[in-house]
Amino acid sequence: MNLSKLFNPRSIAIFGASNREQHPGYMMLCSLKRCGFKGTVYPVNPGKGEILGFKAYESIDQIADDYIDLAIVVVAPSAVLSVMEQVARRKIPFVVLVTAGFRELGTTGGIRLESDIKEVAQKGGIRFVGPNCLGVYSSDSGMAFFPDQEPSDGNMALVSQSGSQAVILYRLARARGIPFNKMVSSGNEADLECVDFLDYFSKDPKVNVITAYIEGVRAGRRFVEVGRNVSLHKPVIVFKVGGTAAGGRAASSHTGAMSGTDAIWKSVLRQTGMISTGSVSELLDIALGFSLISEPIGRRVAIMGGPGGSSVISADACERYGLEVASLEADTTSRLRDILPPVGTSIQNPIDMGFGAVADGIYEEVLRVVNADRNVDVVLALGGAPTFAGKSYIRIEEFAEEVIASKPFLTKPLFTVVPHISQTQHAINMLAGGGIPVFSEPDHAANAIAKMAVYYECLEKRPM
Amino acid sequence: MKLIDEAFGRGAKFLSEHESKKFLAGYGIMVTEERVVSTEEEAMTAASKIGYPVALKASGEEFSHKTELGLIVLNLKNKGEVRTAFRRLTSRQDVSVKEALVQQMVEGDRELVVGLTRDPQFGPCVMFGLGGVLTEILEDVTFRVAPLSKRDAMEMMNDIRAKKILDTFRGKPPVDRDALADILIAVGRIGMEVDKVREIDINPLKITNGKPVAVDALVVLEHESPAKKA
Repeated sequence: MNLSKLFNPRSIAIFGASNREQHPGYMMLCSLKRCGFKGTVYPVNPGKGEILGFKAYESIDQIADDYIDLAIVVVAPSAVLSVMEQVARRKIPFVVLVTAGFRELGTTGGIRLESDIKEVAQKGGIRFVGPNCLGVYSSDSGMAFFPDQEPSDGNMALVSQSGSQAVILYRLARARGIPFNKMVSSGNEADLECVDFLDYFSKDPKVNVITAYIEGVRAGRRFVEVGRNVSLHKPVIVFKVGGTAAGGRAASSHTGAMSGTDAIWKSVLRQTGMISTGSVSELLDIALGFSLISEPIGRRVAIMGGPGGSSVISADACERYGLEVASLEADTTSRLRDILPPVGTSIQNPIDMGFGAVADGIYEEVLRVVNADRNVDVVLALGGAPTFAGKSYIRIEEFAEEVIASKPFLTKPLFTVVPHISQTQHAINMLAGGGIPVFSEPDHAANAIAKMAVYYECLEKRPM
Repeated sequence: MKLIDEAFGRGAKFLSEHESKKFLAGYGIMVTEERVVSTEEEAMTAASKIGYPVALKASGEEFSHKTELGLIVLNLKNKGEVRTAFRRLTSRQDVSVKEALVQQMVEGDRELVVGLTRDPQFGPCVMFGLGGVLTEILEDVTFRVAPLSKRDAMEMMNDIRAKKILDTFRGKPPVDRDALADILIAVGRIGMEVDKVREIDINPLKITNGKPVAVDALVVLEHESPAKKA
């Protein structure tokens, strides 16, 4: 199934486009305009001559364009069926059905209406997203579902069964300097499901990392089969919510009694090689790692930094997450002894740079030494020097500059930790923009490194 | 399988422990040596043949949770003990026990659990983990969606918190992981091939000389119409 026209339609018709700001139809139109959608947009709304600068049409029959690849439908539930019939007659291949009020209501009426729509769509050769969804954001074609979305140079994709989480994730990702390339808010998934988008993203050359917010799946076995294959090509990071005890019949065995949704899902994600996360911020932590670093990640970590306490915390966190605090080679420690002050520092791993951290160029020097150590797979650098002199708060900007200047000679993956406060926002942007993963605390960094390492270990064991 | 079809035909909800083990043995799963008996003499003869010590359990498809009802007697070391235990078991006022299972005692401290469940979304799933009486309290178990590959089976063994129990333990040799993997894969096969089996409990799966042996087993039969395959 080729979804490319869904993510890159030549023209879009919007049914239920409205000129009232609160109306979702208005929001859709506004979003497309602000994101700079490259094709033509046709609002279809009887009685409006023009909305947001787009010429509006009474009905789809008045539009002469042969290249309408997508219809966004934001009309009232009672009007949806007739609109779908019009879309089918016009042979528009894809629909984003934003309207809510179907299966999610749990009422017989809602469920029936949704299956009626499915039938009409099937007969008409239409594939649709939703209902009860926000639809598609695609950076390259300038498609958006929320007015703050813009084109980006990111390489991440999201499929989310919640519209609100998609909106939130867009923002949070931007704030961390790792934008999304594509997003789908898939709603009720009456037709196109989460697994269809996982599959599409796995083949999309613009996407390096796939993330998913999942509340449930219908076709579990297909999910396992597709998920397994997708994981072989790209990391899939999942935040699964909504676990409850197994519904339906009471269990007659101990096995039955223990196989609740959460327990099974945890195992399913392991089985398919997908990465499980427990929060939106953790999902972004790991996505960030994969988005910026494309080399395999090993388990032996060298920790270095100005804040001594942070290096101890980091060592602790690394061990807790199953990483190894690497034993540095003799050559490394002797070179560090030359670079760092003899007192108030540690030249063993975790490396505490102490007051040495205030010197210009010191981070670059230490990075150069640590990077060369053959016992080290990954470097974790903690920003911050014990001073308020210098360009910025605890010399964070100097840290960021030196780390970025080191990038050309670094052969090992580098992760950084910078406390996330307003004073450090600029440095964080610099680092992320420079392709360096930055985390707000050592624990988050260690967790991300560990989960990335596990992913690569799994890949090694699996046949391609 | 004939065993399943017959029980199904009778309207039975479970297979008895003995029938469950026969069924599992048909899939290559090692089970305890045991015999069903209905008299004292048969019990004593069976015990001699199997070799002491033996266990004596109430036998029948109606006894799916024997421990709770006190229908298991362990460590019977001679004919006399077997006779006494048999008499006590079959003369209970609260439950009617017509037949008993005379079973080899399997030594060993390690108890694992292997199971099968049918998840509404994912279909047949195999469960593996720490077994014994604390199974549902510790909940140290993991699942895989069937069919299982050898890889899946081996990975399951590393999922559980108590994974070190599979290594050398209290002077006993490590568990034969290949043999354990075969059991997990076999249970997965049953899930894929035998629709009439709804759930399986093998608990405990004990380890003797590194080899896993099913010491107790329960096969639950499916009487409702088959769930839609996802």
